[in-house]
Amino acid sequence: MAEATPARPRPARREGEGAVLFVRDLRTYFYLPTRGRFLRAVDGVRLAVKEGETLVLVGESGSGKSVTVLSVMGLVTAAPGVVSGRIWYRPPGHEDPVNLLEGLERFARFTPGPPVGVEKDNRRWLKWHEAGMRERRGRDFAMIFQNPRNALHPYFTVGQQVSEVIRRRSPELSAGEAVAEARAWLAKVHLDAPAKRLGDYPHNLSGGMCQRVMIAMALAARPAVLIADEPTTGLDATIQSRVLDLMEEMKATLKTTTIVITHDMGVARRLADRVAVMYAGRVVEEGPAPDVLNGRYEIKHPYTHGLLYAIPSAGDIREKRRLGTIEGDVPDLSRLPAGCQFADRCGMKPPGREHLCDAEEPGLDAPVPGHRVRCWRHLRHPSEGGAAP
Amino acid sequence: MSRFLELALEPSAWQRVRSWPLHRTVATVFGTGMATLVVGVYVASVLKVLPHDPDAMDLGAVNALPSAAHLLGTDFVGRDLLSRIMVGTQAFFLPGLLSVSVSLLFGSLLGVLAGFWPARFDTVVGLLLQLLESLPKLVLILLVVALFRADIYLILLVVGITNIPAAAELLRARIAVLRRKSYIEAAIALGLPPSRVILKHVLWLHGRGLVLIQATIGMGEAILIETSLSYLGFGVQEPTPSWGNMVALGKDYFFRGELWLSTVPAGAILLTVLGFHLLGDALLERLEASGA
Amino acid sequence: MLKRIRRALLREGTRTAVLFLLVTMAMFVLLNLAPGDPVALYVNVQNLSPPEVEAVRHELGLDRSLPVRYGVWLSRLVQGDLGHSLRSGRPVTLELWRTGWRTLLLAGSAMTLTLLFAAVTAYLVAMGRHPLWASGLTALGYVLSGLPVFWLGYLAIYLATTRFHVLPLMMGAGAPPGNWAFFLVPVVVLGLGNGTVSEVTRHLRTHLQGVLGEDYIRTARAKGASLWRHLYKDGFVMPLSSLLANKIPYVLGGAIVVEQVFNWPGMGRLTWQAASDRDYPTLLGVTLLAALIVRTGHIIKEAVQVAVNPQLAD
Repeated sequence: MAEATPARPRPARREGEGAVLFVRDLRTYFYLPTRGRFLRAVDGVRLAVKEGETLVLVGESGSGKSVTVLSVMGLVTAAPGVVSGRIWYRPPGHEDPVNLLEGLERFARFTPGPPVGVEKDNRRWLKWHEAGMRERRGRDFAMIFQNPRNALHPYFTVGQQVSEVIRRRSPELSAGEAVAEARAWLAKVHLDAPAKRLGDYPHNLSGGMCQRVMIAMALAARPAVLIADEPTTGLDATIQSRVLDLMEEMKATLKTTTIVITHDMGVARRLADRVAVMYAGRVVEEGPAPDVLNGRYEIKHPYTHGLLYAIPSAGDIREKRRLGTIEGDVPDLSRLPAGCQFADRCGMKPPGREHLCDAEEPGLDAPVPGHRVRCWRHLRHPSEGGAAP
Repeated sequence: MSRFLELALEPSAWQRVRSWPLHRTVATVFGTGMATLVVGVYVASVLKVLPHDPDAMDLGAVNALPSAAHLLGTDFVGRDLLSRIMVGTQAFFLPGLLSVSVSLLFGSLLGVLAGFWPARFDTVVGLLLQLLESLPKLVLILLVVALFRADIYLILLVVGITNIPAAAELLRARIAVLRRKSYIEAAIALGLPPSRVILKHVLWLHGRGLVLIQATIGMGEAILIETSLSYLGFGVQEPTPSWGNMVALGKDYFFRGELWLSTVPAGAILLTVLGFHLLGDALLERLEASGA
Repeated sequence: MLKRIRRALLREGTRTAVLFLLVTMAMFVLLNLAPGDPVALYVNVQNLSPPEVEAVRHELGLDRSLPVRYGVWLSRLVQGDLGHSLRSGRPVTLELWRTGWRTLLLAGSAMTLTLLFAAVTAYLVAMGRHPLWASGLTALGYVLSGLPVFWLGYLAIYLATTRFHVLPLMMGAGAPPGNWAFFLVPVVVLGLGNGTVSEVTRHLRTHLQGVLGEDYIRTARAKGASLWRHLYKDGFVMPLSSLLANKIPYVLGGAIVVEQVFNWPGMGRLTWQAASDRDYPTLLGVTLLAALIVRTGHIIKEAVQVAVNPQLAD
């Protein structure tokens, strides 16, 4: 008797169980024609965000954090762009997730090599992908950016820009009702004199006020997932703190699923439920915030360790100790070595097993449930038998 | 489907050129080729290296289409068109160079002044620019022609003068951008005399591109103006050939269906101006991509 | 917004007045640099007897010093007295009035066509849509910009008369109304052949590509908002208004040639005739009117840009 086979392969339920957004093996490459090489901005990223959770993506410039979320939003237009991967999105109230990158195989063929080969019809892919994503942006997904003064349109008033989002979300509302709701949102983000602000242009506002407007605009869409790309970068320190206060408040009251991107560990500390650390286009550590951000936690990627110890403590400052640094430089994303990407800068290689670090790149596995790390210190290579180190 | 291939080694210069978008390669090759051709033809015509005497009439072979004897055919009195086209370059070549030199020389001067001392010179340059922009060039030229005389050098000198503010503005804008760049500040802070900074870093590195762009666009403009003027009857007069008056002469034959007479010089104008425009635009694109 | 526009108009108005003063000064200097008796610039000396010539000389203040002459000349100018055509004897203002609006019609329509062509091409290239059409139109634009407009006129007439039979064989003087081809053909020739098409297209394309890379466009995309709504003001209205103001002189210059080719009774043909006849008062009148038209274009541009961009008000 033949077994009934499923019509299409089911997503890995166990892995991304309960996740609103589950990114699997995402690769986004850019081609440098003058050098004949690929810039591997996102090179096999795995991320999962549960409902109501705030995931903070941490990493320095060039680690691929922004490109990752831009790929999720479908905002990467340069060629070749997204070349492989799955982005599983489970809309609120639905059981089954959808793959946002549905159909990518029809337009892109990726051979890992070496040498890496990509065949892609970017124009058609973008046309195909845009049709689906355009509907979701501003409804399921909302995004706020850094440099809020540049991110708001200079020719439209604050009121017009916020109302636009509201009317798109709820087309049944009249213009007046949309404006009224816009004013309510401006008040909710603690913008002073919201009624007056409705008629102001972005150049009349300060950076901090603009960021509040952006937050209001994003929240007014009532998104399933809110993405914040470096929301405090570019603002004065005191303003940063106030914007973080606002985001904490929004997190407590609205409980929106959120992804925050930052290079500032302080932001992670205040907002994160879970933290993912990115390096050279990959996630190298991912786990609950208290564990990842705790320098003394037993499972730690050497890069995370370096980041945490680079921040001076009050005692360090008092005693004028030397700042902790991570030796070496960020790798050239077009010339990535074999083996672990961090090997040349790592000062914590597992004793007796250093050869593994240069030979093969570890996978992002979980030595402890719920906490993943990409490091041979904590993982066992298949060639080695026995218990985990 | 676009195929992206990763190369194992650093690409060679040839491979780097191959990576240029098609339109840029075509533009640069065609433009440079045309520019060289024009210079070559001009020199040949001055040295009188011509297939035929441009004034020699052969009434037996009138309005002939291209043949072995006359590669581009003959005109309505049997004069060889190819030779006349070649001599036609003399009508615009030197005057065009004059126009370009005048606008570049004075334009650079004004541009540097306005760029480094904006307080004093900005309004002057701006006002001058607006003044000269308000007048259509052809109108001004006709006025000059009526008041003085229809001398092509004078006319293109006037054109050169009218282009001074544009050249100045180009350089001033570039300087304004560069001044804010940190490395200029650093150079001056290190004690380098500002004049040396200007000369070496600003003019030499960035000026070259701008000069080339102005030169190509200026020559293209010179050709169009000279030919329009001689078409209208004000520039070079018969029997001296100019591409403009050659087109005018072929007018009646054109409406009778004999298109060749007017089309040959028009084609020459098209190819030359096209070449200069394409070259200028390709240069401008490279400049904008690299520096701005 | 209206307050901004009013302020901008006032500002541009004063600037126009200043510029006009400078233009008249420049013209005056030019006039007096010319060789020959200055009286010949105002009247046809051959038609008058010597005492009459002297009378005119005295009346125009030509026997006085330079600044006085400028003053006299300028005062007549602002009163609307541009002198009389040396050829027809009619007042120059009348001639300009008669022919000016015809040229404005021709040049205005032609300019619209140029900008439309450039806008469509630039949009297709910048957005990456229909790459074949985009490349084709760009190439066409380059070719059109290199072709001499007078030859293009010949070609158009040839095609219109012999191939398509929309125009009669003899192109007589004047433009009889009703026959749309009489108007359309010169407009198309001037609009596409005035030599600025490729430059305008390139300018628009570069500008559009710049705008598309702006942060606020990325935000608009992230909001799922209509891209066009966020794009058209900065990407089209602003550059098109600038280009309109900057390229009018070229279209007016091209009109001289096109009007000659098509025997169109406009200001351009008047200029050409006046240059041939050495009709100085007419030439001067044309120059001033052209400057006025160009300046008006700039004023319109300022008003439009101030209305669209709230940052310009300050």
